[in-house]
Amino acid sequence: MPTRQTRGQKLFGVFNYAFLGLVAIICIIPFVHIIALSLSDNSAVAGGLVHLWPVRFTLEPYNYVLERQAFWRAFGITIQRATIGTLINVLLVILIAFPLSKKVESFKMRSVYVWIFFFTMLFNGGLIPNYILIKELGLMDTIWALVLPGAVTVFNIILMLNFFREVPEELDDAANIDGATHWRTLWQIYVPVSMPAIATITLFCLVGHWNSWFDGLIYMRSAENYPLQSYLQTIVVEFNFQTMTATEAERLAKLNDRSVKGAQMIVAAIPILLVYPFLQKYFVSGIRLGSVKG
Amino acid sequence: MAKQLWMACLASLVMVLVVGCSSNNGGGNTDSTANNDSNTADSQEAITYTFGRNMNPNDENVSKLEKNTGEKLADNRWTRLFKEQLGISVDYKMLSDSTSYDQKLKLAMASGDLPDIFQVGQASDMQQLMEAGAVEEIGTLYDEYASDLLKSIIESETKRVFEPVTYDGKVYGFPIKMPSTNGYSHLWIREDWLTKLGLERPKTIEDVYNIATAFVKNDPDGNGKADTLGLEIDNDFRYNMQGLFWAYDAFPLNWIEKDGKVQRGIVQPEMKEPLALLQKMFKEGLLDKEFGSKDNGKAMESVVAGKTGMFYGPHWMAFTAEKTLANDKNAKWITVPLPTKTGEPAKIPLKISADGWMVVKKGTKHPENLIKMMNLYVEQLFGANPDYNKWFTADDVQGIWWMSPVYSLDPMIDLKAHQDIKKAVADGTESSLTGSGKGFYDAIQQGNWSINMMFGPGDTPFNFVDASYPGQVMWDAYLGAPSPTEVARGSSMDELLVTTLTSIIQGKTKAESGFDDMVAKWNSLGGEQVTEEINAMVPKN
Repeated sequence: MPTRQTRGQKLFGVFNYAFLGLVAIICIIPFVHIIALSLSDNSAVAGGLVHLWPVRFTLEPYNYVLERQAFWRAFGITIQRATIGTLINVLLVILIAFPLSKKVESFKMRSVYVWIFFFTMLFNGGLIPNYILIKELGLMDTIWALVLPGAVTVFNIILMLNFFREVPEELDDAANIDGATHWRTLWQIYVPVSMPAIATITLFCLVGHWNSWFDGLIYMRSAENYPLQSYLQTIVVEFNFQTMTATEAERLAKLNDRSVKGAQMIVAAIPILLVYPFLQKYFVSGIRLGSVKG
Repeated sequence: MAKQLWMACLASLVMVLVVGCSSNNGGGNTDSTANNDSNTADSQEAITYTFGRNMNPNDENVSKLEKNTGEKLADNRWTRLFKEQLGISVDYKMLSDSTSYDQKLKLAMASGDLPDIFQVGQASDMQQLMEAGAVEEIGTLYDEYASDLLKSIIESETKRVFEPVTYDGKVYGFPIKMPSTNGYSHLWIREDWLTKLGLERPKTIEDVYNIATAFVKNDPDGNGKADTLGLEIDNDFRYNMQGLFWAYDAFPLNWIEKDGKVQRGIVQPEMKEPLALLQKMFKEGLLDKEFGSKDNGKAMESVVAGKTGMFYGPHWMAFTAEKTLANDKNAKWITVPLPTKTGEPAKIPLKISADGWMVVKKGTKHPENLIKMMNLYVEQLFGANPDYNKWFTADDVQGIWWMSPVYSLDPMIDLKAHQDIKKAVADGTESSLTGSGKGFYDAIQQGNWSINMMFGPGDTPFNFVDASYPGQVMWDAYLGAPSPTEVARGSSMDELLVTTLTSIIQGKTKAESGFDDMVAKWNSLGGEQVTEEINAMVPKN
């Protein structure tokens, strides 16, 4: 239905594009800056001469990163963590959200359970009790210390639960009449219908695992077992010469190489950036699905 | 069919979880029992200690060592040495760079999960461990077991080295000694700029001011633009510009003795003059207008880019200064003896430099083994026949000396190297150099600019150290842990100092009255109490 736009609408469109374009630029500039740093000679970087375009172009930082065992070891741990962790997260989200999405008539204790889950969103034990728990469970220095404490993602459960509720009851009834059990209804009816929501949650979990660094820092006794972001954190964090040991201050002054740091950040960001386009189509269809039903 | 499939999937997942957990549990248990066994059974000599060390396994040199020789942190020439000679095996339980190491140590303290022998980096953590009785007394063991060589190294600067680890008259930690000459603040100047503008090297702080003015007004980089700065300054000027404060006998980071009492240097009236000078320089555009939001790395950009001609900093700033050369081919750096207000030699306040302390957890068997390990360690590096090319730097790897479970340096190592090189160059006996002198000299011959700048003869930081150590050195009046009030309120008291001092330099607060107000506020915030507490804690001789 082609209609002529009023002047106000046109103006709005122009303003809209300009504003969103500006926001996009603000988001992209830091990336471009880091890329420029990573492709520049270190002395130019240390002199603050690099802004958005490399100065004295070199691929040396990338060569250095590619040869760096510690970086790849951390990379491998993160891939492992993201895969196992996301699988566990998504599976548990589906298994928990399904019963909780049922009506109180068919699941009497429903609200009790919802509150129990919700409670953990508001309160937690704190750092030291968590640390002691992980230690007593013997999880220190293992991949499980990174994936099990966050296995149940309550926020995602609530998202999923609401999505399941949107699924027409008739589908459930039909499956019931045909003799499907709850299991079968879940996996053959609900899950296929909810792919957009599952894709979203997968992405949330994946990005969460990819980016988290603090748990790695405290639950891994040796820095050899750090996942990628904990490793990056130790190299990019602003250091304070007053509190660090003289040995370390001297070594850092020697090695403080921002172009190499930039290269490591870029390499570390690439895999997760590649995931977005693959999940993009689900987002779009998810939005459309919602609008048709609404 | 499908149902069975899903059940199988689920079952296998549960299996993975259970197996994962239980195998880890099992692993943990066998580890600890193995330790206990080795403590009691077998020969009484063979023993395994769990260790905690502030040492980054992701360090470039650690990977290099592994690549070149196959050695790792947990199994290298040092650990093998200890195993062969003393029957001591090392099992690292905590191992990371200092920021996360301090965090890990605090968590381990809180959860009672300390390794047998470990490094403590912060005096406050040390104090807690001593108060809680969580670590073995080590002083008597040191007296009994330490070799003469070890004692001479640890105590060579001053006997007060054990002060921070003394509690109730007993010594609980073993200092990891570093050269205290690391605490020097040097004045670095672009000599090519001096020459170009026909200026003399500075003797007094007045000269420094005049040079800074000339560096700004007279276009030293010759590009026809007024885009240069006189003196580098950043938001941590208390630390990074210490040398300028010392010119006025003001000591912003030290405890000093005054009127028979130990007092904080930063609240003394001597601070006013250097602050007034910085305020004047800021007003006249000799300093970076935005210094308040720049850390050292950011502020040094202007130096590296060849736009700032002077900065204060420790000797290893040579690594940063070196980068100037790539941006400005004419750059030539020198350091000069610290200029002072009067032109008299500066007093240099030093803290006893140590990478923290090694301690032994209470109840660990044979705590004297720590001292024995140290004896063996220093023998390799500083004994009768030191083998630097095996234990210090070897196989193209820097810093093998710190990849050991225990370590310590001869505090004179850097200065001695400089003196040896200077003498050898003067006498033409370069080939007979040994130890660190030889190592540094070889690096200089291979064209290592930074090493030459730091330790070589000429206008280098260590040339000044040579002239002033220990004659002009003044040891900190108090070396122990922060007092209870300081622990509780230190950060807000510090905040007050930093914001006021910054605002004085920026000219927003008056140097004279603003400073007095700050001191009064600081005292009421807890400064007075801290001073009293510290004076009560100072060991009486």
